[in-house]
Order: sequence, then structure tokens, then C-alpha cells
Amino acid sequence: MNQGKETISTNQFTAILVCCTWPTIINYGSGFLARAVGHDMWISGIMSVLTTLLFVITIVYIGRKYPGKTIVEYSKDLLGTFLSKLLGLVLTVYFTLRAANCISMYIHHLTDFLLTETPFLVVTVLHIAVVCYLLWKGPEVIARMGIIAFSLAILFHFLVFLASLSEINFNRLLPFFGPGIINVTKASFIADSFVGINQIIIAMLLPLVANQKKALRSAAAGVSIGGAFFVFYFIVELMVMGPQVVALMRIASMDFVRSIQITQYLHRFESFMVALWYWSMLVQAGILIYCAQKAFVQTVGVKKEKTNKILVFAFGIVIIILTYFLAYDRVFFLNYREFKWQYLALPVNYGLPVLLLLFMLLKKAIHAIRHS
Amino acid sequence: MRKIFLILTLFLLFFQAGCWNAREINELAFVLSVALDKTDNGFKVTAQIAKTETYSKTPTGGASSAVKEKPFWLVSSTGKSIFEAVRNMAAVSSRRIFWSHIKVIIMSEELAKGNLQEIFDFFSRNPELRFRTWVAVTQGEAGKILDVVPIMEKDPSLNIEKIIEKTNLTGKACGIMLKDFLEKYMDHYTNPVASRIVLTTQGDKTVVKLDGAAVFGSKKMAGWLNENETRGYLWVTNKISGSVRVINCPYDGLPVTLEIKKGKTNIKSTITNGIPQFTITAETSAKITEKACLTEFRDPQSLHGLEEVLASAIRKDIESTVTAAQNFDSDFLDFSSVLHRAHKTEWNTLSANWPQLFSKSEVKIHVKARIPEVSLLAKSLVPIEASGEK
Repeated sequence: MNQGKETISTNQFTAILVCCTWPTIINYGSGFLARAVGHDMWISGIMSVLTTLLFVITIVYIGRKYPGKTIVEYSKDLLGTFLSKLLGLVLTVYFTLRAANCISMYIHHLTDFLLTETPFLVVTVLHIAVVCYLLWKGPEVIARMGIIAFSLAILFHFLVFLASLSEINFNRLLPFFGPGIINVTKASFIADSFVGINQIIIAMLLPLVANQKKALRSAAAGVSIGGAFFVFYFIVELMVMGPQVVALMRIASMDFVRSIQITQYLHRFESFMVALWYWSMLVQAGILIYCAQKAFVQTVGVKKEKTNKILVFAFGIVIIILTYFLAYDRVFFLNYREFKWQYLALPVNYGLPVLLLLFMLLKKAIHAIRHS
Repeated sequence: MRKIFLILTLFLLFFQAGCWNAREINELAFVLSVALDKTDNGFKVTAQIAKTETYSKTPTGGASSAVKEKPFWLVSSTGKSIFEAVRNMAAVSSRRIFWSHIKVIIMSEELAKGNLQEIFDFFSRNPELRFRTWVAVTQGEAGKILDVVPIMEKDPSLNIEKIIEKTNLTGKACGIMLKDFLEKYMDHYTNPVASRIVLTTQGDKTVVKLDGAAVFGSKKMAGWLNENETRGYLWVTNKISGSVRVINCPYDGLPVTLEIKKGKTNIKSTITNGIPQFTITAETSAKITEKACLTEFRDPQSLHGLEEVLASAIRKDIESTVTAAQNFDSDFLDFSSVLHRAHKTEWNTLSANWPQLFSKSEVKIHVKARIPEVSLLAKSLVPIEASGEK
């Protein structure tokens, strides 16, 4: 773990947020959304990105009032010690679960398509070992990795575009708002359960950003670029396979990549695409566990560097166990992720910033009254 | 701490050998195509497996070459389900059956008229299979199609794949990939159309031919489309470009062959008294590639007459397809999607009675044909009449 003050550049901050936005939603999210609203899933995606951007502005606004502090630290000023500890624990659990979700999706990708005979636990342990090594190196290394992952994400989407050209059918996207505006808006909550975590990640990472003045711009850019990536992927996926086939699949992204080819010569390139996609998943998992650990450390008040190092192992083991119990049973994971997860994710993603904003405004108002 | 990392890394290295998923190429049986037939107790699956030893040594044109041994092996097995039948192949195949390179799925008519879910569930769940695999139906035993050694290609699967890819040249057959088949199958209102494969003879050789199409109704095969109906289907679905159409010359009745350079069809819908009406507008640009008639088509008036005949022929093709679709109660022309796109609100009420409404729907067809190209000749290939001068 790095010594001294950890900082990340605004570009790295953008890259991290891109990696936290697109890779998981194209994996499981497209199937969830297609089952909910069919060919309008991309519109729900856009709605979700716009909602998230609104909350990104909110959380950066709150964060700027408490420079150098994470959400766990400044919540003490806003909510008091007890509620701040509670919030810290909720965030620890939330980030840990979300990291397990992210890792589960990657493990499913590998064990269900490419390494079908390798035991689930082996792939899980190996992947989490790599993530923990990244965590051991600290957020700066994760951020540097984020830049590589971002570049590979651009290549990923460029290849998807090239490979899909011969198969696209625009009619598969029509009519817009087929199931009705209300249903499409409701479905955007499903996308929110993937994308909405960005504002909480920003609330944890904001103190690390070297240039605080440009933090909002780079955060908004990260969410927008990541959003553009997955919305583009949704659109192309729909235009090639149609909403019925996307809805049929558990992991539609892989079936989509198996359905496209670049000319007659570059086909069956799913392993290559998984390799490009992997880096973003790695960065996302690394950042989520980092946030979980940071929230825990700040809640319980751990200050010793050695304890932090032990915590990397502890979190690694907890996430291995969690991933195994959540994701080994694919039916359980599918039902939990499609129908249950949003009841935890949405209150945290959107309720928490609103709650903190309300307390901040309330405190401001009380302060103004007292001084008047 | 560094020592711990080193030990951990060395320990983890043991897991990196990938033994669990090691699939050596010489231990795999590459399935190139699969044929499915119905049996009394379930399914008969016939897999065409590449013989890796002889495949690379076999020159292209298996049937015509001097090599006696076929570069593929046909293995059949039966089971209550497709997967059981496939697993039963392990009893006769020393190599693991590997599905990644499968090109065509052929099913018999008898099977296609049964429960389609039983057939396609296996193929959509299989992580090795690609969704770009072609789907075809044959009237007789499907397994027999795979036993025909092609004249020009190494193996039947490659031959069938290439024939399907070139259906636009004849305009008398069609092809559908598994992903598109599943899309139509999953849709409650539309239905898929698959290639129809038949066996025919060329001299003393049996060859595989693509002829017409198989139409599916509500979850099972409904019937066949003949060549004209298939051509109409290709017109409506914008897949006709590159095909040929032979028509009779309006002036002397002799044949004129036209190549459809460009064909574009639009479908519009209206609703009158709750009954949908569709207007199909086809526009085409064709080229005279051969003619036996003596008419000089440099004269715009004459050419216009030919364009009228072409338009009429296309209209008849499309009409026959629409009639077939309504007779089969199968919306393989995607009219429901057209209606849904154009009348989103009304569709919510109409969709409940779509099968009844579809057969009642009135379909108007407008065709606009142009023949701007007459190939390389400036005039007809008619001997010049004697004029006394040389």
C-alpha cells in the first residue's frame, strides 16, 4: 500500500468512472432491461445516465464544501457521529456487495463460456488475488490501470462497431417508447442499479483528485463517456440480435459478440473481446474494494498502515466467500441481481446524496437563522 | 512481505496451467453441420465431423477428386432429447464432440412440424455454438443431406453454407441465421422462414439444392413456399438485389432475362374500421442480361413496355407470397412490426386479435420498375439485313 498522500489526476479520475460505468451493465444489464422494456432499453440507459449526472453534480457540490474529506468523513459533520458510523458501515457493506457482484459477473463470463470446466472457486480466487494485488498497490496504480482500461474500452467499442455493420437493422429499435414512457422510465431504475453507484464512488474518491477545480468536469465526462459506451453497445446489440434474443439471454453481451464478425476473416473473436473488456472489470472491482476498505477504515478509525494491509487480505477473503455464495448458484444470482439488488442499490445511490444535501441545507438554514 | 508474495505467486502459478479446460486439438471432433430427424422415442442426431487426418489433404471438390476417402465422418445417435443423443455419440466417437465450427442445422420436415422449442433450446443454450449458424429444413430424412459429397467443395457443410450465402443470385431460395430465426420464433406475432434443402441429380451425381423456403407458424412449421412465393418474400424483406428474373417480352413473347441490380421495398400501414391495410411499394432497377426477343429496347417506349411487364411479374410474386402468408396464418412478412411501428397506440388494442386481423388485412402492391442498363450491347444481336452495300 502506498505511503504518503495519494492523488490521482483528473484524467485518471475520468478513466476510473468510465470503467465503473460500462462493463457490468453490458454484461447482465442488457438482458434485464430487454426483459423489462425490449427495444427501448437504450432509452432507459440514457435516462439513467442523465439521472446519474444530476446526482454527480449534487455529490460534488456537497463534497466541495468539505475539501479533503470522503462521504464517510463529512457525514459526521452533517449527520452526527452515530449516523455517520451507520452510514460508513452501510457503505462498507454496499461496496463489498457491489464488488462481489462485479466479480461474479466476470466469473460467470469465464466459467459459462470460456473456461466451462474450471471450478468456479478457482477462477474466483485467482481473479480476486489479482484485484487484491492491485488494491495493495493503492488507488494511484488502479487509476493508472484505468487509463489503459479506458483505451482498451475504446478499441472494444470500435471493434463492436466494425463487426456489427453488416448485420444492423434500424427497424429493430422502433417504435420508440413502445411500452410507454412510464415503463421505460421505470426500467431506467434497473440501469440505475448499475450506473448509479458512480456518485457514491465519486464521494469516496473526490479527496484523491489532484485538481479539485476540474473534478466535476472530469467526473461528468467519466459518467458520460461510460454511458455513451454502454448505450452504444445496447443500440448495436439490439440492431443485430433484436430485443427478443437479448431478453432470452442471461449474459447477452457474450451471445452478441458470438453473433458478429469482421468480414469473413476475423470471426470467433469473443476471447479477444473478453480480454479488452476485462481491464475495465478489473479496475471497477479494484475501485469498489478500495472504497469498501476506505469506508470501513474511516468508520472504525483504523490508522495503522499495517492494519490497512491486513484489511486487503480480509476483504479479499470476504469477497471470495460472498462471490461464491452469491454467484455459484446462477439462478439465485440472476433473481437476486435482476429483482432484489435495486432495493438496496437505489436508496444508497440516490437516497444518500439527497439525505446529505437536505441535512446540509438544513444546517445552513439553522446557521443563518441563529446568526440573524 | 515480499517473501509472502513470492510464495503466494509461486503457489498460484500451479493453477495457471489451465488443465481443467485443456482441449487439445487432436482430441476434438469438429462438428461442421448437424441434421436432426424425429424417431419414435425422440431424436436422431446426425453430425458431420471433419476427419482431421484427411481433411487438409483432400483437394477441394471431394466428389470429383481421386481421393476415395471422404474428409468427414457421419455419426448418428438417438436419444429422448437432442443433448442426450449428442452425448450418446460419445459411445462411438473417441474424440470430444466440439460444436464451435458448426455451419448448418438441418431438420427434417417431420421434426419441424413438431415442437420447435425442443429443437432450438439446446442450440441456444450451447456456449460453443455461434448464432450465425444457418437453419434449414428438408422434406425427407435430414441425415441424408449430409451424406452427399459435393462436387466443388470438400464437405457438405461448406457446400451448403456457400449455397445459402449465394441465394440472392437465384432469388428462388432464402437463408436465415440462428439468431434471426430465434428472434422471429420468440416474437409472439411474427414467424420465421428457413431455407428449404432438397436432393436432386446432376447427371449421375446426387447434389444438394436450395429451393423455396419453409414457413413456420405458431411454434411449428406451417408449410412450404415455392420459388415464386420465395421470390416475393425476398422482395418484401429487401433481400432480392442481385437476383435474376426472366419475363416474356411484351412484343413477341420470347424470354428476356433481367438482373435485379437494386430492389427496395417499403411497407406502409393504415387502419380502416379497425382492419389494418398494408401498402407494399417496391422499386427496382434492373439490367437486361440476356434476351431472345428481337425488340430494340433503345426505343424508350419499348423499354417502358418491358418495365411494365417486369413490374407486373414482381407484383404477382409479392401477391402470391402475401396470399401464402395469409393462408398459413403466418406473419413471416413482418406486417405486425410495421403496424406496431406506425400505430403504436392502436397496436395495443389490435395486437390481441392479430392472427385474425392478419388474415383479413388488405394488401395493396405498387411496383415501379426501371431498366436503365442494357449491358454492353447498343443494339440487338440480330444479323444485319442485306442492303446491297458492304
